[in-house]
Amino acid sequence: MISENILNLITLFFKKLISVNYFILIIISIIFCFGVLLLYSAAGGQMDPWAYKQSIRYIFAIILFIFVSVINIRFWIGSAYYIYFFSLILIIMVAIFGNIGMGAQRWLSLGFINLQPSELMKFSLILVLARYFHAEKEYTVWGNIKIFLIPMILIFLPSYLVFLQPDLGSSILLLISSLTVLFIIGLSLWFFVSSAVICSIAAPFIWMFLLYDYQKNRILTFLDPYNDPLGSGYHIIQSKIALGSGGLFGKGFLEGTQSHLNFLPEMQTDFIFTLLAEEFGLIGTFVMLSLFIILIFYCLIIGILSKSRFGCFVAIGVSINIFYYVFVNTAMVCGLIPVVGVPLPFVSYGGTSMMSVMFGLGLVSNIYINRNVKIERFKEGVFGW
Amino acid sequence: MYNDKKIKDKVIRRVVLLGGVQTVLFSLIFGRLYKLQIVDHEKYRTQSDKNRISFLLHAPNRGIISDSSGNLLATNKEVYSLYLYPYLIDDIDKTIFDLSKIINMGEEDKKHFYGVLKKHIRKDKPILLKNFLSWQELSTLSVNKNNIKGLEIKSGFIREYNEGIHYAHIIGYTSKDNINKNPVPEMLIGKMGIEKYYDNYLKGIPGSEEIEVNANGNHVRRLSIKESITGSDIQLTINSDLQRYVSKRIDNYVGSIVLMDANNGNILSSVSNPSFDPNVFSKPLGNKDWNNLLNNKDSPLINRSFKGLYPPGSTFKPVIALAALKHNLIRNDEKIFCNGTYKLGNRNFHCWKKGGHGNLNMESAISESCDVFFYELALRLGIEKISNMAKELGFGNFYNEYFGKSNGIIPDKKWKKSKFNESWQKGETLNVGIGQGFLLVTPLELAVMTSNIANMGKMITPNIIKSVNGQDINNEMITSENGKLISSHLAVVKQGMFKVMNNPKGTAWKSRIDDNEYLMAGKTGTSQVRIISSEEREKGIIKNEDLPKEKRDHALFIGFAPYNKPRFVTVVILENAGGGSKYAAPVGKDVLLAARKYILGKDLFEDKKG
Repeated sequence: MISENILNLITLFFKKLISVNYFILIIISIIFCFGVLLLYSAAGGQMDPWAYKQSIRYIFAIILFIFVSVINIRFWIGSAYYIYFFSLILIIMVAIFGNIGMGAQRWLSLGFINLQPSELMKFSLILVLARYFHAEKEYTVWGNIKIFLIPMILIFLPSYLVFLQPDLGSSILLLISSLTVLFIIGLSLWFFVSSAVICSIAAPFIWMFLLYDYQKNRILTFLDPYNDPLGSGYHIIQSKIALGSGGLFGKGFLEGTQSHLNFLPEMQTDFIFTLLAEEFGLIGTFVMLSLFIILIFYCLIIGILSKSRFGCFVAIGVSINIFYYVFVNTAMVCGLIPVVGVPLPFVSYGGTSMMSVMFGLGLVSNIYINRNVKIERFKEGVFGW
Repeated sequence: MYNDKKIKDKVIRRVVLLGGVQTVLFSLIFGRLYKLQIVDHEKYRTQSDKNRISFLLHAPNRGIISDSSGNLLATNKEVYSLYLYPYLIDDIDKTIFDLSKIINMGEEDKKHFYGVLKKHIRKDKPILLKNFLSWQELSTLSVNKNNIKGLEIKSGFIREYNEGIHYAHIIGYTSKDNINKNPVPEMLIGKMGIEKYYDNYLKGIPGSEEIEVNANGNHVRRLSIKESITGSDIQLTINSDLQRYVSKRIDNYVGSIVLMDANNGNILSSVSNPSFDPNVFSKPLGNKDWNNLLNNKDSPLINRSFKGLYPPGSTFKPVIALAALKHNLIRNDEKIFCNGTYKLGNRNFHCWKKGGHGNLNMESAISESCDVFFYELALRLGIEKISNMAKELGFGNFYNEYFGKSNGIIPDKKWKKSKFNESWQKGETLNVGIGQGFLLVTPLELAVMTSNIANMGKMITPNIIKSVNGQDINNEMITSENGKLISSHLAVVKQGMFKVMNNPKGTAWKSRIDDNEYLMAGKTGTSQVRIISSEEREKGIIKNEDLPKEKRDHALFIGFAPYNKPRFVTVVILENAGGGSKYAAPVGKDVLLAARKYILGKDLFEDKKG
């Protein structure tokens, strides 16, 4: 009977809904609430223009999370390559149609949403790498570079395209997070050692021939922000002042002077952590970072507990990606590394990073649901299913 | 199953490694946050405050200057200026067009404004377009303020001087400080006279305000305010009725008149002619106006009363007389014969009276101003004794910053040695004996000398401040130290000066006051500004009236009244006017009568001018 089928489906859906990983959801919701408070403060104590929009996005993000969680895990294995190539096409489209922002083409305007395909690519790459090694029969010989040839191409192609946009920061992050995933999967340590040697030899040439002036400036400014206090050093100096002036307990909610008096322009996006530090002090930053650390390690544990290779690699990959988001963002804000445009997930204002991280966490939740499912290795080859 | 178990172990090992690296990296972040937020907190909090708090200083109101009866002489006037915020302007042409209908501006101004606005179009600091808006401009601007974007009207204060031209030298003027970096640029700085030397009293203390500003420098809110403290008001000893009268009485003569209270040195009136209008300095001064003032050959900017240098001529004779009496170089009844010429070596020194005065005692010599008599006395004294007496009578004294150090010259041997590296000549002593030669004095010094004589040797200090912020300044007389001036000697000199006015033979007989209550004593002086050759003497000296103006003699007069109880002392110097008895003495008389009228309130005053 049709009605009975429908009833079965609904029952199944609710069963799945109950099995969704609510721990992840609770953690990110707490982080998100912090974020909304900060956006509210950043707007001078108003829901508009950021806090309200961000909340609406979050509702969609939760729906996405549940949706990604409850879908059969085999669907994600099967569609890994399609998602990857879809992301790749978007990156190519950015190169052609993308809007100009900060002297780089990063955004793809879809009318209702500005898409940043490099964000999407991060999680697509995780999927495709996990899928590749899930199916790889010869994946027994540690350190065999040959097996890693195709993954390398899969990684370097989008990284290079993003670099051409030009978006050095995203390109490096894409590369590093993917290579970290390869490290977990088992790429020989020799690879990393030799890469490091090659990079350090190539660095001067990259500096001279491949970097744009604004990128060189950022690195120089990072090394000595007071060299150009009103130009490119301004952000870092003001950001440090905001952090430092917050002290242990902060200046209080809505009382951050650095941010409210506009000494830190555009802090609702990548520099929102400074607002947190200024208004809630070391306590605020400590709590926020701890929540992220819990989330990151929790995802790692889910990966280890997963019985399937695919699940293991995806969960660890997502964890690694979130780690890089958080680490790079906070390190940049404290002046530990040069300024690269990396948002703080669920806190910074913006849709793409929230949605893509939520997609990744949905996958983790999915893997959590299917942690005991053993998935057969399917057919051989790249596209074999 | 392939080798999943092996792979898993490897993966776990690497995940643990990764977790370790992540822990290290997060520790770095925590360490960094601890450093920034706890260790360096103070430093960054200070920087954050420096970012957001800006200090504004507010100019205090300047103290007011008034005369001895409280009439306002220097006040503060609120003026309004038009500013524009360039970044708020959409269309420069339209803004200028709109403004040109409201405020008075020529094509030149329009071009200038356009250039200025164009240059600063992105600035959020206001730019001055026009100072000193008229009431009509101000009211029209206020009405249209919302129609023209970026307008701002700011108020400020300038100094306003009532009857400024009468007080220009006494009070001086102010201007904004353009050279030094004053923390409060709106504050006025005294540039001359009372405004300059009593600036510390007048200027007050600036108020300060702490304002929270945002990154664009716009004000967000006020954090604290400390009100400014108005400067002290200063009341002068000047009587404005007298000052007005004296300013008129000097007429078109270049010169100076000083009227002083002999009892306490208070200056009741001091006029230096020509004068200028100090109000012109309150507004931006064009180069042309400034050059006109600077290049005027009569130097209107110089206060002749305190700084003008003149040979005193015969008005210096009382000094010689007192010195001779002090050193017993003449007996009271001793007479000296004057035949019109005094021979020293092969040089002839002439008396102003061609035929000579005949036999004269001291009193008559003063009253008839015999030159030969004083040549003889000067020669008996020598230059050192003369200059010592001059100093005892107040010449060359430093009173205070306001009056300054006199640049006058009381010559002596040392002075000549250092100045010319030459030794002193006897003939030069003779010249000093009749107030000529190297001798140069200021009208103020003559007034002090006259007061000291009139007072029977009590020393006064000139004073022009009656009160500061309502508190009276007492200017006490100091009795002459060591009794240097002996009353009997002074009496002789005073008697001589009495006879100048009240003896038909006296040089100022025509200017006497016929009132026993207000008898006047004085001394005329005529100081030469040219050398009279012997040929001219043979033919007869050319009359002053027949000489070109700049070669005529200076007319001088010193006097005091009433004779029995001296109260008012006056010094009149009219440059290139002619003889002292003819030109200066009548002025002196009128001034003393005016003092009687305005200060004592006794109006027995016959104004010959009026």
